[in-house]
Amino acid sequence: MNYGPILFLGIFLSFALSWAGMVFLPQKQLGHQELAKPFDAEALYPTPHSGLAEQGRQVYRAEGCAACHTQQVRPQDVPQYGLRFTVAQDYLRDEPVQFGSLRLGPDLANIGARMPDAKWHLLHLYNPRITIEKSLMPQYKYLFEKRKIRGERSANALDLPKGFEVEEGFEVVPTDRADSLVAYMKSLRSDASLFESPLPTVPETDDTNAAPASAEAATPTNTNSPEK
Amino acid sequence: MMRSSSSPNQPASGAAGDRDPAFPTVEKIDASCRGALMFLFTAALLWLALSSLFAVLGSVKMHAAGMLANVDWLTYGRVRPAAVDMFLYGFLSQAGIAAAIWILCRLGKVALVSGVTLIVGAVFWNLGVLLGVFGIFTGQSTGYEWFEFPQYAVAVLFVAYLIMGIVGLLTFAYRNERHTYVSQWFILAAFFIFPWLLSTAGLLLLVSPVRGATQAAIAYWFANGFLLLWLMPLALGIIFYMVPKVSNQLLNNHYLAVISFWSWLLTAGWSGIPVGARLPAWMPSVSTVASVLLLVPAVAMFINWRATWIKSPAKQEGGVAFKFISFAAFAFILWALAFAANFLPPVAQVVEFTLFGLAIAQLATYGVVAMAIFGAIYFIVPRIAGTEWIFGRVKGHFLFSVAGLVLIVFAWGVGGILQGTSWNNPLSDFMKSVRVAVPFIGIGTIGFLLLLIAHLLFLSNLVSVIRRCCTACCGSGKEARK
Repeated sequence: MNYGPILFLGIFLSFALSWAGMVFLPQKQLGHQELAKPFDAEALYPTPHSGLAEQGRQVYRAEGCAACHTQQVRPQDVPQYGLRFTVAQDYLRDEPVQFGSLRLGPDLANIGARMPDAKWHLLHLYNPRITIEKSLMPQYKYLFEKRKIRGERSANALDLPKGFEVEEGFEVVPTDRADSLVAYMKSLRSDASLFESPLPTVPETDDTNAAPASAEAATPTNTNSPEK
Repeated sequence: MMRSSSSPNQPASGAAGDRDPAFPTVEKIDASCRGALMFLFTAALLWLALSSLFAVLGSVKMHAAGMLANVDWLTYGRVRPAAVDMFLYGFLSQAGIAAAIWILCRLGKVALVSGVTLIVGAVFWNLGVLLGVFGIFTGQSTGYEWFEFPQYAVAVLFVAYLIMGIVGLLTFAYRNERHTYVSQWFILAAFFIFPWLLSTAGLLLLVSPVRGATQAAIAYWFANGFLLLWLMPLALGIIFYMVPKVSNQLLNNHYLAVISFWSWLLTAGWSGIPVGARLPAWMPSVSTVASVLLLVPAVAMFINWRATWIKSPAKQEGGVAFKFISFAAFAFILWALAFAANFLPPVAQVVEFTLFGLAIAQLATYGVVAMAIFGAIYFIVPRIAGTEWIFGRVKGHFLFSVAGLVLIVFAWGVGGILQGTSWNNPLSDFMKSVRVAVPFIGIGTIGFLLLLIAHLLFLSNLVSVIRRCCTACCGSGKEARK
């Protein structure tokens, strides 16, 4: 093989194949996906996030939370992380999509449903060991402001438990970044019942033999496909 | 078999070129590369040292959650991608380009087309990496793995690459030796594919992002292509050049190399979508098939290298470099096996999302690519600079690098398997899987510390070479005064 042009043509064609298969085809299949109507709600899914939660998504991206947290529930993860596994549909409004590839911390695709308490999240971000003993997660103290109490204590100051308090006369309040990140956490819920991944529900009949966890049983009989 | 001195299965021995007066001599070729390559290698080594410093910091932060908790730019989620990207773009890509261009010169028996243009490209490349790292530290990371650099940095990198890539391609086009050799094919493939990868990811993820999960598909495709079609071909080009060269043998089987090259190129681009990815099922399935098929070229190449070096009675030339190269060859076959296994659904069921994935990535980027590049640098620099390495430091570098790598890969590999086993146990809670992994993360930290020592030794060795080279060139006046 001594001809540069033939070599180039071969390289070009083999890479073009990969491009067509792994870039063009996915875009063709998923790029025009539409919002779906879930079985259990009227609003189209995924519903838009609040502005604060969208800001929080950018904090999540900037601080590199995805270095240790995934946002993808596989079928085998369902008992631990959610009511159902996630599908491509769940990420339709995400920008950027934060799939993540490592779980040094738990999956967060459904954290808003699992832990809706904002106070818990704020304490957890300030010092993860307040809420989870022996947690490896870094402390995000820079998302909070420690300041002197002037007059009354701020309404949004953290209630730090024993062993984690700051000096007398000081308080810790979340910054906008912390508040938006928590709003984002609360917005992360993949709990709409979708055609591709329906929620396992107990059928309304009195048939006690029906297996409640079966995905087939969960699919309502009146519709077979999502509304297009 | 047909074997002649100009056979394509032999890397340039220099002898044929010396005989023909029209071809530049080996000395002339090396001299044409001197300035530009020394610049690229030095900059690359600085990034390498910096990256290992931040890798250690990131790893230590895993054990000390409260450390530097008030400094946002030093949070773990910024330090870790910054360290990885400095390594991938600052060191591996930069030093890989330099070594590849030297190989193109030597095999083409041609002087570097324009050293000055290459330096201009290199300056922009380093500016791009600097901007990118700055972007990550200031919270402008894109959030895509291995592609965290913000848009403006990617644009600078793209332009910088075009300048360097064109120098490489022109050097190839103006070659005197018309026969091409498998090293050149791999290098050309890498040089041609990289800008395509970078621009596709840049356009579809940053400039006008595609919707939803498609982003993830493209990010996976990019990261996979960056490893298998950019870094790996550079490393394979180096190994294919160095193995016959150092063992002073012809490549054992030319036709096997042809098959390996094309089968690698055809399959590598289809891998990279993890088994559990929340994408349509055909994508991970295709990736599984491709990753297993990749074993064919991997095994074929390894057999070819081994059969070549085993014939060599003594490794006379560049024995130091050969240590690194043969290590890379062994790491390559080990990686290929682990990589294929990682994409098998029953294995992925356990190890997906665990430290195991990081172990494989470390084995690929460090064990194969970085080790091959280390070998190339140890081989090339004395030839272009005219000064020898301090042997003790090379030995130290090798030992610390191997020890560090083995510790990291072992610790993360085993830790990952234990993590995954713990998740699949319905009675175990998440924190149990963390507690199981902690000691292994600790061993990994020691590994990174050893790598830092290795890289500082390497850097100090290069500084010493440069100092002696400069003294030899321009310092003769000073010597005379003494």
